[in-house]
Amino acid sequence: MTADDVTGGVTGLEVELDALRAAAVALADVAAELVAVAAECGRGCLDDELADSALLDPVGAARAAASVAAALAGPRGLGAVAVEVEVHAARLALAVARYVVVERATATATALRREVQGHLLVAGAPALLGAGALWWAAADAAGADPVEELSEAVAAHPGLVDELVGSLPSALRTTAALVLGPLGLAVDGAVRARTGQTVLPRSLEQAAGAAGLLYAAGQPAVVRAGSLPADAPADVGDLIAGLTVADELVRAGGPSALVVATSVVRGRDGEPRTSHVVHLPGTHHWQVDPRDRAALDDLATNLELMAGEQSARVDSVRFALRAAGVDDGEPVMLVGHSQGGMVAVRAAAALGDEFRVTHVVTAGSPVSRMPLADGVSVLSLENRQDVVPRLDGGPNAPLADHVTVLFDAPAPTLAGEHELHAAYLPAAERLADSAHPALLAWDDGAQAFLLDDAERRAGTTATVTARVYRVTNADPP
Amino acid sequence: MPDADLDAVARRLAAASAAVHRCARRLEATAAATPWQGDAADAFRAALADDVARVRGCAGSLEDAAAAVHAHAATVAERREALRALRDAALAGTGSVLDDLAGLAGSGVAELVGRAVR
Repeated sequence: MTADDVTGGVTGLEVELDALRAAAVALADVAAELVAVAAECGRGCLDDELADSALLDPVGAARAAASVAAALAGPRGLGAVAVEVEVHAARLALAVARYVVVERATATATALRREVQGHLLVAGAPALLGAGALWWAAADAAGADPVEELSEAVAAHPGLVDELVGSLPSALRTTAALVLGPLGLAVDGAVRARTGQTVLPRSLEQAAGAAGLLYAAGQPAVVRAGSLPADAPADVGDLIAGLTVADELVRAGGPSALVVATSVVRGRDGEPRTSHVVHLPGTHHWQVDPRDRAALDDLATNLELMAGEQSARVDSVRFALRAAGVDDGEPVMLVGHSQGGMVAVRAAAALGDEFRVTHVVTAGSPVSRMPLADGVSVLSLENRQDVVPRLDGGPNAPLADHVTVLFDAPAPTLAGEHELHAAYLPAAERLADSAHPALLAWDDGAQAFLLDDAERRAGTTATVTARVYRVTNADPP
Repeated sequence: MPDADLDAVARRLAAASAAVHRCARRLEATAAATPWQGDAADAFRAALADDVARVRGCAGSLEDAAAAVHAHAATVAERREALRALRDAALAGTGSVLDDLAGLAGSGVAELVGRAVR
């Protein structure tokens, strides 16, 4: 794993920029101190004493005066060196400022490009649809599976998804304006007054909120559905392995599920420590029909999470933690795949009033636009070929509290590239061999949840209770 | 004993040298604390290492200057002491001559007065 595969964390750009700013300030302070020392010496050492004493020891006075002058005012003297350090401090501060300005300019240019692309998509929609239909027919006639062909094409160019998603608000706004015509603003005002949403979206969140207007909000019903055998996780690979078990539960049928694994770790002579890991599988019910919302791991939840609205699935995490008897001071880690990762990030912010969520792990989740809760350390795993983590239209910011691991796990289909067991589990298991400082620091921070081999050899034991909770919509439309 | 005023100057220079050494250590700590990687980071650290070397050179120059002023102070004190001794010696010599002269004058005057009286 190369350094390029990991962003954020202790070696992330945000930390580096902060460190560089701090370095510039430190250099400026040193330069100021050197100037002050030079000035003090100039006042105190080049005074009349040497001149007066020259009568008695002219050669010695001349030698001393020359030494003092060289030390303070020579080309390699204190004054000159102070100026050099000051110049380096200024250059460093300038480099940081220039980087920030370029970043902002790039973001502005990207936003403008996507705005234009959105308009062009709408303008060219008839032609695009026509060309698409022709291509579909041609692929079909040639005996190829058009869906598979399309899947392969998107998998080969995952950046297209970033651009399409980024252009979506502009395209939706243009479409709404065309459809609604001059009445658009009035209609938008009425919808806003009634729902707080806009039908003329300017952001991805607003677009998701507008689409979410079709669906009724759910009400979670959380029911205990037995336990699973489990062991204390040693590393990120074990955490994702635990998530695959929860994922299999849902794949096997039935409603959405989440697993709360509570570890009580006892050292030989230490106090027992308790921690909780919540496993949150992804979307398993793609019902598009708004009249049928029995499950909460559905499309509507994706829209709610993207829009940043109240989500019944986030509430289900709260209810499950209460049911598992989690105390407010015990550390909680939320681990989620796809929608589960989005739920984890939103829940970490929403549950802070009742629980101590300290860590989040996401696998293949589009979370770059979601604000992170203070004090929560996030680790995101993203397959570069997987389009799902790109559905937020951009990469995760390299924040100090957000480490992102990017890896390659190509598969023949889009679904395969998003698959937890085939794509994400092997990547998570590889992390145990990584010596990247950001990952080592993340591991150190997550020690409350992990029990490594060295601890086991030292006699530390763990008792793990993995409670399964089934989650349904108690208030279907 | 070196000249007190000049020695104070030497001590100030030595204190300035210590302060500059501390600055060099702060620069080194700044370079070490920067978790930056890549070519630009290497160039930055190399520039900072040059700065540290120059600052340490300044500290060394200040130490040399302090030593030169201290040596000068010692020479000045030594020469001032020699002059003082010379003056004292001169003053002591002049005093005995005057005493002799006074004695001589005194005895001569007495003799002259005695002769005159006889």
